[in-house]
Amino acid sequence: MSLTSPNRGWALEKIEYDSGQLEGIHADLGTLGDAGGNAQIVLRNIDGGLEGRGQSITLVQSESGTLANRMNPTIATLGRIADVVRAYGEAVAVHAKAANDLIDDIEAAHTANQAAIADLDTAESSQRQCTPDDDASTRATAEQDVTDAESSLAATRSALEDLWERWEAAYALWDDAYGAAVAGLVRSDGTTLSDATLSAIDALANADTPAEVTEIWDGLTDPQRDALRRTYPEFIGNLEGVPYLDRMLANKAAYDKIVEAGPYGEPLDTQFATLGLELTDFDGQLLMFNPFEQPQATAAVMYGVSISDENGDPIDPMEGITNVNILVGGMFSSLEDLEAWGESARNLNRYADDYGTDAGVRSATIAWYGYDSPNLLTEHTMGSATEGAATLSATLRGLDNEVSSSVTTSVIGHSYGSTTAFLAVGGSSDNLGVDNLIAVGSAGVPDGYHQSWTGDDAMDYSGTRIYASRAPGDLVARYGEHSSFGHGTNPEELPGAISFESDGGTVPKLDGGTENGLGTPGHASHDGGNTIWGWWEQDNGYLARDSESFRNIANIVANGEPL
Amino acid sequence: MKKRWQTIAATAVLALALTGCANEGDGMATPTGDELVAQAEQHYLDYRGVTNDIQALIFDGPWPVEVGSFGMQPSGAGCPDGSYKFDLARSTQVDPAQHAALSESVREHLIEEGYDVEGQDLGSGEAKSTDVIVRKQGDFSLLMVTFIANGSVSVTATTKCWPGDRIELSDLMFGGATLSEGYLPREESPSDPLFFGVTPGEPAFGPTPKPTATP
Amino acid sequence: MADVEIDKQALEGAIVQIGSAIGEYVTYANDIAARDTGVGNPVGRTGLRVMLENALGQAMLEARVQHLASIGISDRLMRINESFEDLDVSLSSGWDIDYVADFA
Repeated sequence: MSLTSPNRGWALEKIEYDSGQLEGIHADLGTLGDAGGNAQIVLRNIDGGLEGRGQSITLVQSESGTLANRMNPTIATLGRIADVVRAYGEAVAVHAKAANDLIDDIEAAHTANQAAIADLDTAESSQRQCTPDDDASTRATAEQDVTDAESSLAATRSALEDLWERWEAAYALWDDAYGAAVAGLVRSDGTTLSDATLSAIDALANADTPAEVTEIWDGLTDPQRDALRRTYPEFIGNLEGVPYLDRMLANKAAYDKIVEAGPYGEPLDTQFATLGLELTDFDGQLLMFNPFEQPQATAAVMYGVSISDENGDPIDPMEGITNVNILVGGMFSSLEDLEAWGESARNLNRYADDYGTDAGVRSATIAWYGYDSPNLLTEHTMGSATEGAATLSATLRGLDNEVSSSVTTSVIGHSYGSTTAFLAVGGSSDNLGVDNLIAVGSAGVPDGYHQSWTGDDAMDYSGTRIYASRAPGDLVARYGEHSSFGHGTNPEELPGAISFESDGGTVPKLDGGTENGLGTPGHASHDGGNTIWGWWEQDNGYLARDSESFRNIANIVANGEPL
Repeated sequence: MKKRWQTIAATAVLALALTGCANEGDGMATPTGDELVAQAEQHYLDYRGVTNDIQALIFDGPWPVEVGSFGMQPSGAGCPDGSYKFDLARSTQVDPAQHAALSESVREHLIEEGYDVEGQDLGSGEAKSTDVIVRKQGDFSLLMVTFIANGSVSVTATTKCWPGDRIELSDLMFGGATLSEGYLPREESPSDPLFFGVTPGEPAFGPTPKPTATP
Repeated sequence: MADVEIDKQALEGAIVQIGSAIGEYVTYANDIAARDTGVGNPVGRTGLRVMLENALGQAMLEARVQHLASIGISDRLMRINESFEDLDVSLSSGWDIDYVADFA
């Protein structure tokens, strides 16, 4: 059952955490700090203890001393991160646990309360059926029944209210601890901040929804916003609710800062360079950027918008945009693949605009890579999709908050990206503002919530139109047998789903690599050989400009239906 | 509701093919530096010549330009490591009654130039489209002209992949400049002179970029 | 000459110490950055987990850079050590002890 708390309106759900992991990280951060400290001692011994003349000796002394000093901020930051982890770990072990422990009781009390309400109803309607002709004992019994039912109801109601109160109290304490941890991490670099900046960070860190963040951001003073842009661009660049213009500028600043502090070795250096070219050469705007996320850096780039006009003055990038599309790919191996997805995003914008000329369509498309793509052979596909769905939901809520409801939002999930996209939209209590949900080259979408995310309710796509490209009948079954979400569902079979033609393209193979989706000849095949003409571009399959599936997607986006 | 057709060029030997062979014969080693830029520029001018001719047949006035699909920026998407390609798109509006005649003249022109031309019809009603397609010939992986019943016409081209490091090439051509800050024209006619690369700090099509805009 | 040998041992000891101390430091950093933080996505919130992963990842990268720098230092110490040997061989007895590097 999905219940909501009476006073704060919070959904009754389990608060996820792993005490063992949190404690482990905290302990290991301590060990790491100690190891760093030991290394500093050794280095300072060389600096202070190495006597003698000669350039070599002087040099190694000063290098050692310098290195020891350079380690100071890293070790100090690690200590602050450890404090954040400890505080949060303690809080969840107490408050999240307390809240979670009450869930079963609340559900039982709710059921009992509902039963008591029904009983009172029954007793009252029985009493209403009494007439003056009934004998005294009948009427007395009826009256007693009502009285008994009333006092039962009072008892169940009071018990339920009491449980809710305790649950809300525990949840509120967890909520505070979460916000404090976020604020603590923002400040973990140890920069000394003014009270005004500190309070701005606290307010933003404790906001629970993008709408709240927007309100707080608007309420900050110009100096407060400037201070945040200068000191923590990576924080506000990724915070849903901060206006997109500010986020794009902040993420660019964060990107520049990070590249300047490099190099970092491969593969990061090439990934960062490739991402940078999307921004400078292809007019991409960086909407999300998490360069050090493990195991892979994640990012989202938006195409088809401008942040400044002809005179170089800033403008709202979403002004005049009628359609926003989010491309969620499934088989990314790294951030470098954003290059190909960026091209698909620009193609989609162009063809959506062209198909939608009469309706004045102006399309913007986000190439979204916000999660670790699954490795078919070794990882649970559902685990990656679950985490990815949480991040995608956050992006979609933020988008819903940023643009007016007249903007048409379409999410296009390719291959395993469709698993993530469908879980995000179907698993949310509302439609996240998504008008069109499109599965192309899908290997199956989940047929229920994954346990560790939100519970056991069925998927709910109401408010969203579903489209799915035709796939060979056995494709979903083959993957369903081997993936960890059981059999999965062919998206074409979802109620109300509209199928559209697709004449091929590549799909993932179980043993790695790709194979033709439908085996049709022509451009469905990959031709990357080194021929006499030079190398031919590898075929995108489903999203190639000349492919039927791509043109269907463009028309769905522009006109709400396949070709 | 999909139809495809193909026309084989009358001439069996493509003039461009010979040129391509000659270039590749001694140039399979990966170029760098000035040589990389020079080769890239030649490839750019060559392919733009073809797309400009096609655009001129459709409409010889200014076509709007979008930075991301301008077609001068080297990209590694879909290419093997150590190679780059160009990708261009232009759209305009014409009277739909002209489509049949225009697509025929584009087809004829391409055949005369020695290409095998394919075609494709998709959709119906206002979303009905006709594509004139050249696939994997000459300098092109995919050269396509799309006529949509609502009057939209687009010319799109993806070139083949040539050897060269795209990050190095972009750096040599643009020096890290953000092209949307006035370095590319907002509209362009097929007869406009072509240029290759930009001078960082001197945007030719807009005001001098201001420091990072703050709202 | 015995004094020179003792100092050489101290020098070699320092090379080993740096290697193991900073080696341990970077190994721990690599390990922590790759682990599951335990934060999860409670009620769908992803912010804290993502920020923590980023913070640990950044610290790991800093540790790696510091580790690389320490290798440079070890190299230099080893070259000094080698030049000691040459010194040992080429000098006769009576070498002034004050000219010898000394690890206090």
